[in-house]
Amino acid sequence: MADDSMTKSVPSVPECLVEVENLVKQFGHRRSGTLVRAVNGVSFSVTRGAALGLVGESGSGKTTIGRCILGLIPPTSGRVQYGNVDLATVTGRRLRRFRRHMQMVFQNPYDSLNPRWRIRDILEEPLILSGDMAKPDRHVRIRNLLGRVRLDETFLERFPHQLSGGQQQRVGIARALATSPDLVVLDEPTSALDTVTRAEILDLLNSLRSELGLTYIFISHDLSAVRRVCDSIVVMYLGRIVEEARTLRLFESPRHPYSRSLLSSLLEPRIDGRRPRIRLRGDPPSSTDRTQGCPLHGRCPVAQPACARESQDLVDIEPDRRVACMRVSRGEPIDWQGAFDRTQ
Amino acid sequence: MNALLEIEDLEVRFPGSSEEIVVLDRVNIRIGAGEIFGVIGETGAGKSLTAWAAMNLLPAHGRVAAGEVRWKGRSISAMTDEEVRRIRGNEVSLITQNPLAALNPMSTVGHQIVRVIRAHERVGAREARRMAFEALRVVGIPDPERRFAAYPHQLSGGMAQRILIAMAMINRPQLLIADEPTTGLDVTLQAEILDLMTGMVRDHGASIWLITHDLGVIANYTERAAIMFAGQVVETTSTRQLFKFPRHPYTRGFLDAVALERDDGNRLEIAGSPPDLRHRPPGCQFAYRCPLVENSCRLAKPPLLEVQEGHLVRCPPVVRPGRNS
Repeated sequence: MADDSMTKSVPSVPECLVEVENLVKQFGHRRSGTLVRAVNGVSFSVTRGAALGLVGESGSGKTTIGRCILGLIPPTSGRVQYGNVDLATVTGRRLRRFRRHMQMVFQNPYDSLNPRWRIRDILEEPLILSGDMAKPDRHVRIRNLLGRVRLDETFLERFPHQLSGGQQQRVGIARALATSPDLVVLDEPTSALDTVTRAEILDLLNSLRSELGLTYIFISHDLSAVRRVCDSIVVMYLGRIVEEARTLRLFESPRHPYSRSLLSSLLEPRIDGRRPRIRLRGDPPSSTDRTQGCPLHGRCPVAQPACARESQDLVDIEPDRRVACMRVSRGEPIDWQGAFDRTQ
Repeated sequence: MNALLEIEDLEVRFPGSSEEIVVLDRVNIRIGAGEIFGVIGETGAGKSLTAWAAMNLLPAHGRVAAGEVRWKGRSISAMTDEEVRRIRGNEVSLITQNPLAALNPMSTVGHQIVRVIRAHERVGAREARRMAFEALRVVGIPDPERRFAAYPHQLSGGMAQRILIAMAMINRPQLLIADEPTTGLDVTLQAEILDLMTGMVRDHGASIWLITHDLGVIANYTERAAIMFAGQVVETTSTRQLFKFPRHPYTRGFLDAVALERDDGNRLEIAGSPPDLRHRPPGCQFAYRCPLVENSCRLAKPPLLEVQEGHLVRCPPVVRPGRNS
């Protein structure tokens, strides 16, 4: 189905679409005085047409970053720049109009679709809200959107509960694409889906990105899903970036102790060549604790006394790779053999 | 290998609006003593239901319509309810997906563990308490004395799952049924919990029936596995064989779907939704999605055929001599 209106031309010179600078987001509780430092000074940028993965475990701050980028919550400090617009300067009605450029796909497709609306209404709503399309055009557009996500027109009159999980997520994706966004933030888009369906959705996301020239920020704890879609990956730990690298390079040779541990825990669907596991000590500290030094030092298998005193900023250690580890950036030899879990 | 649990041609039906729905269709599973056996499949394939049926725990409206379950050679259907209950209590343990839902929110962790200990052993309160501390220490809970007094809502998901493993191992079961034990946990925790669970069970010489939708879990932890589709086992063999030489088109498609490499052109596509069990087709249940379907597949129900010792496949075309893929 050719639909040129949806396709964007991708300029040959890489253009920065999203720039996040020193982003901090704290959630406070005034009476008890507890402060959750969800995001703690995070900077990265996303090139137009690229797919960036934000990975980390529960509480690493990845979802909060996604919400700040979409302007759903205001950052405590720092800046989110979209194209050449500082998001903080866009508010109220302008922000709502601005959001057509950036959309989100949610984790649980069923919960994110109104159960009492037909698929037709679900897809039409963003077009009505954006307000610049006449009714007949909207109907053409809805059919195009369904085609984009490989659903036929019989779905128009159905309700969400009549669809399988994969079909529901296709509708969620079609709705996100309705306003022809440049940026799509995917928040765990396949975590609620079965294995085969998950693979189909990931393949669909890959096709859509190349067909429409979309830019993705893919938030997930599922490393294999991120690997399948993203060009580069940001690894988060306790609200900070610990490593950023090209996807293939990160999987070949993670450098930060946390990335190493994370990747060594990945259970690959292969029977040969399980990596030796690098186990972190204890449970992650809470993001309400104010810690001195490297956030990982208490759990890191190769930490040294200095790691508890000073924290290390992200440093470029090679082209396209930033790492926030004192020992790695100093180029010290690290004995990983001693860090391997021998209990396996 | 001595079979600990044998499930033979098990058929389970649930009432439907006009006629009964066949939810499990001639399921065959055999778990050996000391073996880690995995069952994989998508939602609704019947993985968990098989376990419930085998343990005589079907919901009231479901019924076993055919087949047999044997525990150490004895048919479960020939046992009294009390005998089956005793097996469930003493010889089998169960760990489920949502650990926090399995703990009583109104009572402390310690109290719950002590109750399990005293249900199985005639020990006094002080001794039970000491055993509970020890059980918590074994599953890697730091500061067991403090955790003993904690309520479930004060625990992280990983900690709660460790406590359930501790409780499941108290009766020294011969079989641990682990139903998606790490689904929903973070990546690093997932591997840790599975290491812990398989390590403890191995030390006791017991078996695990590991139910999962995650091929990574199957590949890394099981010795043999069965793959289920639409309430049937479509293939069962050693885990190594399953990954190296999968035969059933569904198994192949399933493996290809999670293959890490991008499409190399040889991928077997099995896109589509799970079947509607209310309207089962007469022949092969997978025919409607099968890229290798033949006319004969739609006519008769395919039996499980042995392609080599211990490798069973429910697909006559791929088993036919002279066919290699």
